[in-house]
Amino acid sequence: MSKIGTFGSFTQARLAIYAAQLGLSVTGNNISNVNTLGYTRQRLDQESFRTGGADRYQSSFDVRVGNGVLPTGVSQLRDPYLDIRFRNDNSNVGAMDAKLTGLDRIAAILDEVGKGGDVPEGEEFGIIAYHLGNLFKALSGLSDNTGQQDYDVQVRSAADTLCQVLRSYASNLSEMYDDTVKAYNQNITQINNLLSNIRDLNTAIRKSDIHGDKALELRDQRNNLIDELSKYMKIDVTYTTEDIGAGKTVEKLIISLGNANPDSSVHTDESILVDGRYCAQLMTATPKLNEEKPGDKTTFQYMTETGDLTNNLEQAQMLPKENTDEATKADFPYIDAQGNPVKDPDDAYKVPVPNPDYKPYLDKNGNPTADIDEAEMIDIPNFGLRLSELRDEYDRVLESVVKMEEREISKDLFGNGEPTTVLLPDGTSKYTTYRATQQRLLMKNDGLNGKPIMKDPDGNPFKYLIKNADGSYTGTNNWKEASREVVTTYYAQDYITTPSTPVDLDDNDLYGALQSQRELLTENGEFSTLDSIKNLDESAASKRGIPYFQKMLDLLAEKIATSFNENNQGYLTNKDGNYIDKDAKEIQLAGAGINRERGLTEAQKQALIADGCVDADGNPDLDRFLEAKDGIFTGGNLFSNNGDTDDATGINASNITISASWSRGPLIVNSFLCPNGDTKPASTDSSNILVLQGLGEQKMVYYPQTLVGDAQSEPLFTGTFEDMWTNINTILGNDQMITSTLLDNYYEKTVELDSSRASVSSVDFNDEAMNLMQYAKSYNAACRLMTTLDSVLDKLINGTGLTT
Amino acid sequence: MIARTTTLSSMKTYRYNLQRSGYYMNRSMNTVQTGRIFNSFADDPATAALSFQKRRALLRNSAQRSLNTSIQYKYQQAWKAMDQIESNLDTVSGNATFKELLLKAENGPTASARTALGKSMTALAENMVQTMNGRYGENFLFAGADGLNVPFTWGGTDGRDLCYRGVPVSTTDPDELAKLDYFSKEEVKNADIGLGFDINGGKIESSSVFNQALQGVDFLGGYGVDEDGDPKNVIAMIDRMGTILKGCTSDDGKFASDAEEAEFFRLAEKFEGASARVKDKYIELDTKSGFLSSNATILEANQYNLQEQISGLEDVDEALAISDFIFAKYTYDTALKVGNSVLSQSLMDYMKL
Repeated sequence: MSKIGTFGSFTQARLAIYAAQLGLSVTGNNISNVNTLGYTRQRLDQESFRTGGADRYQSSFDVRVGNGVLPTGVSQLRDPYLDIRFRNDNSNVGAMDAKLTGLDRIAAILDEVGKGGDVPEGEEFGIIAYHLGNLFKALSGLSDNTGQQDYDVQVRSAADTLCQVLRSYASNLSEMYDDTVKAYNQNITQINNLLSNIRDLNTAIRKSDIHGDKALELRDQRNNLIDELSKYMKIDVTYTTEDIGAGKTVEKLIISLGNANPDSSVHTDESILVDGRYCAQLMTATPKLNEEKPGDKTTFQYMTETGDLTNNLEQAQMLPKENTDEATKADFPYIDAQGNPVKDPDDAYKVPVPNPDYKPYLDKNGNPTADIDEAEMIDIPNFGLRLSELRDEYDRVLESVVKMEEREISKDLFGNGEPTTVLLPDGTSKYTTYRATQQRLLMKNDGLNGKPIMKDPDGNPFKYLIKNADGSYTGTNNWKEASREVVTTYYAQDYITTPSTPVDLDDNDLYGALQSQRELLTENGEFSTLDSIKNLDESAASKRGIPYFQKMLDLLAEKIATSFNENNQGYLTNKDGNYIDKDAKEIQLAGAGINRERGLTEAQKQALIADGCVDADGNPDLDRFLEAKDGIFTGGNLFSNNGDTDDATGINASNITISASWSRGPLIVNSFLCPNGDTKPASTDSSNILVLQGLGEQKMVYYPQTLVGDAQSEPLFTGTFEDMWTNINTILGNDQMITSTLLDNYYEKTVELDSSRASVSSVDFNDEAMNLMQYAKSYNAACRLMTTLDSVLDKLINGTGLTT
Repeated sequence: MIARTTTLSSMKTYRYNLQRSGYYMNRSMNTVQTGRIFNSFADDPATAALSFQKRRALLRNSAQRSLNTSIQYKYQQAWKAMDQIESNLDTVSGNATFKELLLKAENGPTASARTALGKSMTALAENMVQTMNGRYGENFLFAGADGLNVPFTWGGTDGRDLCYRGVPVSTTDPDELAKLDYFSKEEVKNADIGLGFDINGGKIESSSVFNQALQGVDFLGGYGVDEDGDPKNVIAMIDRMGTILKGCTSDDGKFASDAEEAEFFRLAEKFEGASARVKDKYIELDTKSGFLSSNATILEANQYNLQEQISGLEDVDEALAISDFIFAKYTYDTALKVGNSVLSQSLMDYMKL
């Protein structure tokens, strides 16, 4: 029967007291951190303590009792699946939240519901809407009071105010765009900080892990950072193990982009952001490249066979890649595509002959440089992003090493047995170690190393050889007779090292707050170029950011200006609508008058072309003809791109203004029609004012190509100016409504998941109260055990065998 | 196993629900305060778009009403002028001397008054021209589309040739007649007064607008001359008759010549017909005024109709809005109260160690 030491049970009691104390400490830590963000509740792990092994001769009556309790560690209670789900949904919340914030800010500028005051007549409802309506109301007044300057001034004031409002909206949108750019750059800095911090925590956790500390608090911090990161971009988080040698492994955290790109052929959306102690950084700029310039030798990469310079690889002179390894290059002067030394230049990998003067970058002074660190950094177009190479806290680039299968090599390739490093053509490097083994083996009749092939009388080769004293050979099939020889076998072990490289992210690789912000800055909706739809994003035409709303406003301003300008100038006609000259005579072309409304007949077009009266595109130029025939031109541009001139080219919402001529005095053409014999219209004839007034009722066709030459050719909207304005707001309102609904759904789901996570991981007072009671009672019981043992031993020591 | 409900998870859920209650209360409060069903396009894009459309229609209606009223006043002014003209015509036809003349009574009792009548008639013609040159605001009423220039003037070598916009109304020159034809039949001054204003290919649909031009030449019995070479225009007729009468001898009232006498009586005979044509125009003007008046009523009805539609689209049902707000406030208050009790007690509070 096994025995226990006299004071062994005291140890039991002492361990129990320790465990209870530790339990109280863990509980205390939990209670203290009830309000700590991201704190995961901890639990004391303990095991029953048992000493000793099996006795050599163990009695079947032996009873073994454990020796108490041992705390083995503290662990966290966390559900990784809930983390994954939470982070997935968090990127949804981030994406919708950022998008809605942007749309709300656009709406704060464009949405006019309830703006401008509300009066019973409803005249001041809306701002642009009101001023547009007001312009036409003023025209209505002018049509009734034609020729009266104060009514013309009213129209001009209404137009001027409309221009000012349009410019103010455009300026606000532009300001908002700039603010969003700043916020976008700040978020990139924030994300880069998060990535660095996660990497640093990984490093700290790894160190602790190696030393046996679970670093639970650091993990909590890291989880907080990962949660925050997941708001900015969809990520995948995986926990793997890293072999640190000596049979020990530690945990390694890898965070990669979450495969957000709908295009399954794109894999940059799975790029690694954090790989244990290494992390990438988001970059918005790339080195400025030294573009090819004829005559500038620094801009050419290769040399041709004739010594000329070229950037065309096909024209470059190709030479076998040289072996730089001192040990083998004498026998094997070249390297093949796998990095193996070879003799024959035909087997070698061919590399282009580089131009020694080539300097691929430009520094900030515009001077060519070969050093990337000296290059000027320029923003990637379209707010594109590049992921840098993965670097550790000391800025060292991560190199992933793949150990290849050991291969047998010839003695020649063994060289002096020292390890070699070869840079492979694909940018990776190969580190090779060598070893040789020696064995005494039966001498085979294999004809190698100068041995002859020995055959029996029937002409069949023997299996083995006997080496005679004189150096000759005799064949045998009996292995016992065969001679022995020392055979050396050479092996090479390759380690392919691939350094981490920068990754240019595709347009849709990200999803989350950052991408939403990026789309606010880049998306043009129907104004997207066909090229960007084809090469960047198939759904670009349905994504609308700030540039889309800017262009819609520009398109509206352009249409208003163009329509008014076109209808407010031209040559005067007689009562039949045919152009007249300064003597009120009808101008004839191809034997007939030229009607303003109907335009040129086919014969008249041909006549103009025959006369060489054509514009730059070769089309008949009627204005030129009328000018030459003393036609009477009247009117002019009402709107211009600059208040100082009448220039109407490139009018948009940012520059629309009333023209200089109009601002100086009345310019609206009342009518183009002159009563017979007259060379000016009747003083209060308002037929053209009514036409201008009618522009407000006319359904215009709006083409994206008006502003973006390479955009879709189909119209994006057909309607009046006011319809177009309402349409802009309806699109914005719909986008806001959908985004808001999605955000609501995602947010609710995230809150639910966060609560579920909290259910598992957070501290609960009732639980901790129970723990407190439990550990307090355990502590008391252990003390009681000690008292009992003391009493028992006291009886044994002091009260046993004594007589009184 | 029952899911754990920890202090933090309860707090998170509670906080979220409290935020939502607060948000709904705030929203319903906004609805009550603004009295509008939607406060942004995002609240209800379709209704907001419709509402803007209706408001545009209301603004247009306001412009049309204002224009209609202005034209109505102009027509009232024109009507008054025509009333004056009519009364002037009556003055001529009711004149005793004129009546007697028509009876062709040689050396009648009023023969000596012929000269005076002649003077009076030429003066009347002058007056009528002045009446027809009346203004409404800055514009001449009867100038067609040339409202800034005086329509009727006296021209010719003797200064007694009545001209309309520079063209003699009794001209026989085909070119000049063509001009008068254009003024009378083709020249328009259209106005959008809510008749479905429409422009097709740059041309205004005439049926969709109101031609407010008043061509003075149309209101005076006609222009040009008849088959006898006599003017059709009443003012020209009166002026000519007056001039002939002025040429009569003052003692016995004899005409200066037989030709003049014949001319006078021809004119006097035709005067009745010309006056009737003027009256027809007067009635036509009255009809047009009536139309403008009824159009004003329609426009006003449209205005109320639109306002009602806008109200239906935008304005909340106060009872519903207030009850929604009260309910949201009730929910919010309850949430606050619940929060207080959720966070108050735990086992910690009952522990006795």
